[in-house]
Amino acid sequence: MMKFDITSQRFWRYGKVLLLTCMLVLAGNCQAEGKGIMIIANPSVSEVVVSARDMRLIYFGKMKKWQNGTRVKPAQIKSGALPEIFSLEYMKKPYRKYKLYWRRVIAAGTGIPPRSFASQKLMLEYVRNTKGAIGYVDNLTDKNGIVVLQVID
Amino acid sequence: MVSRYFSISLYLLILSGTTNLYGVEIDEIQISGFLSQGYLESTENDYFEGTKKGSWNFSEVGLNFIVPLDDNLYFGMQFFSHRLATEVESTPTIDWAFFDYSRESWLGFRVGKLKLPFGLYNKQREVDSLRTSVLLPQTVYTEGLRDFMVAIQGFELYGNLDLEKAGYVDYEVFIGSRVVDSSSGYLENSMGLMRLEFLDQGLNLDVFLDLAGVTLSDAVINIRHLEGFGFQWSPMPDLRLGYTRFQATIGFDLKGFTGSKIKMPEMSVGSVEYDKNKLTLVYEYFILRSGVAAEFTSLTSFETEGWYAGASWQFNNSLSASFSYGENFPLGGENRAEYFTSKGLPDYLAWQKEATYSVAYQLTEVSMIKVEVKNINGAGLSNPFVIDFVPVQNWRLYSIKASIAF
Repeated sequence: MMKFDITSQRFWRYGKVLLLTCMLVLAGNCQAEGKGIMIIANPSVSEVVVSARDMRLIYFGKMKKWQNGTRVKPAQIKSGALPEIFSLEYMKKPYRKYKLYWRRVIAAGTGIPPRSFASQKLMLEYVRNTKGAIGYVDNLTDKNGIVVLQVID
Repeated sequence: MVSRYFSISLYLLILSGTTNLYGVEIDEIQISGFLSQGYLESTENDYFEGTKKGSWNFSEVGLNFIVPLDDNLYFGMQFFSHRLATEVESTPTIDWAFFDYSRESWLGFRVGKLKLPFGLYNKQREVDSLRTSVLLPQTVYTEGLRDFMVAIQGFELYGNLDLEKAGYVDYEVFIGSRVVDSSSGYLENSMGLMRLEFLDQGLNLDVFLDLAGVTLSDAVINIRHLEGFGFQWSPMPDLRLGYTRFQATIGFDLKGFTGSKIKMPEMSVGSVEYDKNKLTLVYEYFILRSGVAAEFTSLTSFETEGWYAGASWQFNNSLSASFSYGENFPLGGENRAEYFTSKGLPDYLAWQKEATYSVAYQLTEVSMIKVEVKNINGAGLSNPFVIDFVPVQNWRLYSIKASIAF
């Protein structure tokens, strides 16, 4: 029977491998700043971590409140590479189909789409000034009045 | 004239270039609209009235807005005007208009004029640019039943239930009423069936109506109340399963013709859609159980059923193509052919089978052009109850349509 000896070299060798694996798994699951996209929110948002599933529900208009009861107010960028990447990464759909989804909802009047902005600067301003707002950027130099959310799978 | 001003205003709004991602956003107010013009030409039979000769009477104009009133409440309204197989330009009507109140995702409340959740696409059926095909598959989204199944004045409870690993469900429970006027295809079909029942008794309905001093334009179908429920379940991101069922209590008011009635119809529709990357697959099936009775005749129950299966493929950001095949049996099942043959009419009035090929090309972010060919077998949807006209069994419908949406 193998002894559990913390002074042995084998323990530390396996321990390092195990630790490295855990770090890699955690890094893979935390996407706040992964894949070039940062998920940002107004400081009124109580969550610091959101699930990828919640992101999907929020941007499809199916999650309306944060845990503290604040209304969820999603924001998005109108065009360019960033919304394309965001849509594939979090909505699991090409941006064209994501837009089509919202056009259908609007045609039936059964929901209000995320506010859309021409630039990241305008979106940042909206998120900074709007209670419950959430958005995304690929570059954040001024974190004042903004919280960065971690997204886990 | 009102419709023309409505179209011009909308066109100018689009040209003004103020449109946003989903239309025009003025602060939190969302405004969007659409405008389309098409051409229809059928061989042998009229698909809609006048299409055999070719018809430009195929247009739609819509403008909607959504105004958030507070965090939990908004008001939305859509004006809509359309022309299908009629020379008359329709004046804009309110397609939907309601207040929506929801504090939680799982429970919300809407009151006003509401679109019915018939199938996956009924709520957006007016917006041409949302699909590759020119017409929604008519074997399920039959224009003749449009007035009956489009909208009600009433209220509904709705919500989204998070089923964790089993995905989520959107549900609706609704009740309301509606008045359908004499131009309704549903009324025409019901009267057509009544006409055949009169013939069985050796009577002529039209002579009877003349003697009674009434015309069909006096007729009104009053949907006193219509109630039902619907849900769409998404067990995974690319899959949607839907089911809707509703029933109605109907009053049939035809001055001087008090013995006539329409049995309470029940309608169910089931849908499956798989939408992954460039491919969309869809299957929908509906059944309508109804009945009609006139003076001197017993109640005749009938079932209308239809289905279609379709696939569409997005080649790139501009070009898409679709194919669908569907069947509709206005009196239920192919075996009802004997209903027509027993009256000396051809059996193919008992069905309509359509193979539809469509191509759509997105010209710009807001404009699109489409062409479509339907190969048709049978004439069940071309008003099979007009007994002085015998349609041809195999025929085609060609259509082309340009649309702008913002």
